[in-house]
Amino acid sequence: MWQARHHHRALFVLVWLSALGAAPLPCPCPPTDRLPQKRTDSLGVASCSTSSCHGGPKGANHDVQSFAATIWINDDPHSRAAEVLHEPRSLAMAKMLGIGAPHRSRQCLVCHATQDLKAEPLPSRVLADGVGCAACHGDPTQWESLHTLDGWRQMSPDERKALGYTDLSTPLARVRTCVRCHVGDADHEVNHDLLAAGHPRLTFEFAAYQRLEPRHWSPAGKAEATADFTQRSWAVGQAATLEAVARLLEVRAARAVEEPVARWPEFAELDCSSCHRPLGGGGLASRSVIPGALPGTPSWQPWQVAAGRLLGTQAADAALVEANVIALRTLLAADWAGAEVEGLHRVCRQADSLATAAGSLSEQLSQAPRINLQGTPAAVETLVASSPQEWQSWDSAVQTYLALEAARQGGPARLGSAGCRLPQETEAGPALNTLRRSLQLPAGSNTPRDFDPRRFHSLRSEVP
Amino acid sequence: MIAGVGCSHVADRPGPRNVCRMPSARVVPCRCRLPLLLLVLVSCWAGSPRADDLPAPVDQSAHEPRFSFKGSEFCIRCHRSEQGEWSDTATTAAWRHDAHSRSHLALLSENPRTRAIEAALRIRAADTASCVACHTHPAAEPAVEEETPLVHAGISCETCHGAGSAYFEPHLEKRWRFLSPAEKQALGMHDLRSPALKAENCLSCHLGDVASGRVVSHAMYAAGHPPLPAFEMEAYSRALEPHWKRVWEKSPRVQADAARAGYHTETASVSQRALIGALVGLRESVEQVVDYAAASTGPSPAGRSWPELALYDCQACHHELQLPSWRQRAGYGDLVPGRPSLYRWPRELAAVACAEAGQPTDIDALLAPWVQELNRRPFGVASRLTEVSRAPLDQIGRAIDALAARPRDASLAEIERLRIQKLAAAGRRSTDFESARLLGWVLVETLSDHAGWPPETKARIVAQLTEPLALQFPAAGPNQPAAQPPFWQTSLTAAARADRESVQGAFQLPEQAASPAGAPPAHDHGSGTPGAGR
Repeated sequence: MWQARHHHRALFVLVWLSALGAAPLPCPCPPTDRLPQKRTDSLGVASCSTSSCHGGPKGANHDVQSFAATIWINDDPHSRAAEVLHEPRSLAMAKMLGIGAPHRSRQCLVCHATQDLKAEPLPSRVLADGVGCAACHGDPTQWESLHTLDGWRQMSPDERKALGYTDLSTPLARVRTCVRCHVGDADHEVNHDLLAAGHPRLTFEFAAYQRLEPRHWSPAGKAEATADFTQRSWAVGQAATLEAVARLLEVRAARAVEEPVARWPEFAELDCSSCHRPLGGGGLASRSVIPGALPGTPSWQPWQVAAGRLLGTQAADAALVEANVIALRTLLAADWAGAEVEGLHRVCRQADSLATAAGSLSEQLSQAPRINLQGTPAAVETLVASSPQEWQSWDSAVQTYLALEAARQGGPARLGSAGCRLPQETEAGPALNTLRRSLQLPAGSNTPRDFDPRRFHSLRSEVP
Repeated sequence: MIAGVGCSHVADRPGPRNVCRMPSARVVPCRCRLPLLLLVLVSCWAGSPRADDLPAPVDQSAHEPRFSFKGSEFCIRCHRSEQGEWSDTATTAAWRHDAHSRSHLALLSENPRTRAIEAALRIRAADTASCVACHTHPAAEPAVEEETPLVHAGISCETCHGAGSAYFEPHLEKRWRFLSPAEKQALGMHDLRSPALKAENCLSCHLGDVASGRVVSHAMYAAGHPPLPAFEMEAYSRALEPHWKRVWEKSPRVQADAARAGYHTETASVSQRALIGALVGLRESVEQVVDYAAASTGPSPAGRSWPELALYDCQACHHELQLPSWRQRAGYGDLVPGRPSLYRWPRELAAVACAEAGQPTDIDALLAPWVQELNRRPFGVASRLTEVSRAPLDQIGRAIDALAARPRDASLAEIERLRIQKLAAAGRRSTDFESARLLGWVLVETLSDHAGWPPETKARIVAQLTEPLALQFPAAGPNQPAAQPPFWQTSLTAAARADRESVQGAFQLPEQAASPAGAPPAHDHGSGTPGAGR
């Protein structure tokens, strides 16, 4: 699956592929009237991308706004999210899942396109748009003409919001938009059925994704202008992502209670490497250990547990999030497959508790005067030293790397020009580059076969 | 579940030595089944009207064990040397070289692997019922008549042949040999000449058996217990250096005596035994889950927690994450991608067996109700599994009966020649390594039993199958190097490096084998001409 030659590229591909979310299968299908309307685009990208509005030519002398749609069309993989549904891999997936043509399947389109899914039959026009303007900025029906007028600038954020416009100037607003597909919710879900059919795994870390997104906006007056932009993006992103992850787990457990037969346990909630490892003991050093659990117990998302623990080093209130993450992991280790109502209620309650704590932390971090991740390398060292067996998984290593990289990244100076994707290797520093390369997945495989936790942590301790 | 083990082994009463500290390894009450009933595959639960009123553990007092263990020392006294023409094998000497005789040594904490498992599970293997049940026998102390050094040594005589307290004396008499299997069973000796009963006996450890407490749980595997390689009865039996002979392998005088006395012997050829074994394997892989589900649900669950991952196909989860993969190309049938599935390895051989038995051969279709259940919820809902298993188990039972009823007559050579073609054709279509390996083993066993082709042709076919399918067992017998890699490890290595093309290609039969020159025209489906008879 991964052709990446080094980890940077693996992350890059991850972003591209993970843009392709989808919905639950085979049951329970979300009733159509529950589908979110906010994301739909009755006008389409075409209405935004005329050459005199946002579809002008790229050029240093122009305002980025004037060629935002041009960047999106040329450089942003979101613009090809619907096209991907026509590819052989998507067709093969749909065949395995028995859902008909993927570009006609609402389950795929909820994330892969920006269109009104209430229409019957679905209009084909908007399909080519993929994840278009309205997916993030809100349905423009009520503000399309207004926003070209001078009065628009004088409108308050609340007034704009009332018209369906989504403000994306802060990391928190952005991450809450991204997680809808990149993590999922009741109506946008990549479950294990989809993964097994061939859908890429969703591994979301907002700060890294944001760095990879071709910037089609001006940094002026936005979060990019602040000195702690990347640090805040990382911290707020992890908190808001944890909130979304916990809410999704809550939805899944609640469904298993409500419906006499539902898809529980949901394997997508568990560590891939817990099960997808070679038989006979050897062969895969990556290991997510839960202290005290019976051998062979799959662990709950080491990707998120690591995020929670790393976040826990940041602020006093983050410790509550971390405690909730650990409690959830412990709860699921004791009973990850049981379908008894009582157990599922416990999962729901614990997931809700985590979501509440993480949601409130994301607000706090968003409003904090200053986010400083300078102490991250030392904090990570302490964390790993205190329970080394918990830091043996590839997932936790990638999260650690991403935290260190976020700590190193600065503010606006490192953004690059408009449309530019990511900082090049030289900017990350040699120690981080070596660390990143140690996380590389083998060609053609998504199993971290070559990952060696001891080597990783030895390299990590050399990161300044 | 296995004839003798179910009844005669007292095994399943947790005694002082069988105290289990692992929740998943607690011993469930033994359910006794008469072996003859087993033959027609009426399991205890099958008669229950509804799944809901299922498990009600069998009242043990009604099934008081009638037999207990004598200990191998009694057997060794005579069977260490030939017993005349009828029994011209030094049985227990052969058993000494058989890995079964050393299986109990794995329970000793001196082994690093055992020590690791004990540490991870916080148990002592020698005191843990689910370990003891397979590594010696599921007998608690009261079952042992007399404590002798060899009573608990390995998988010994009585583990397979039945506890000897009642038949020990009678079997010393000359007329014992000519009693019917039912008469012998009445005194506790198992009919291992019946392929179905023998397969069940072997599979009770090599696959697992909930009723006799023989379940390698997922926790045990994860703690370090080696994965059990897919089991094929005939190849495994031959790898043991068999300590028995079929009556037609004995001297002409013995054969004549046997015929005169109406001596009960087996009729099944090697390939027929293997095919019956495959069907039993398929049946047991389903029954194991059903029995486990019954032990974990219902009004009085017998201490099992649901689901138990070890009951499902290991490969369903333990595979590399890559696209495209052999697994994906093989397809999921009607199973939703990513759901745990039943063991696949018995299926392809069982399909050949079903064809031979005149039963529908689409095993996936046969197990469709199971697939529907697993699609509804991963692992299925325990309380429903009995219901969905009834029809498939009935059909497998019919196929076993039909095959077992085949007489051994002059048509055997032609039947075997066609079987070779069918096994090879199935191998060329094979979709996973373990299934292909079973087909390969049976093909090799059938070839060696078949007199139709020149030895060099047969040797060539065997050679081309052996390497890619890792058919070779570790050498047995005296004076073997101690440092052979364990069989489970070579099995894993072979499975990991196997690719579909070379596995399927190994089943390409040479032209001359497919249609021997000068033979009369075929009257079958045109796949070749009859080979020379035996």
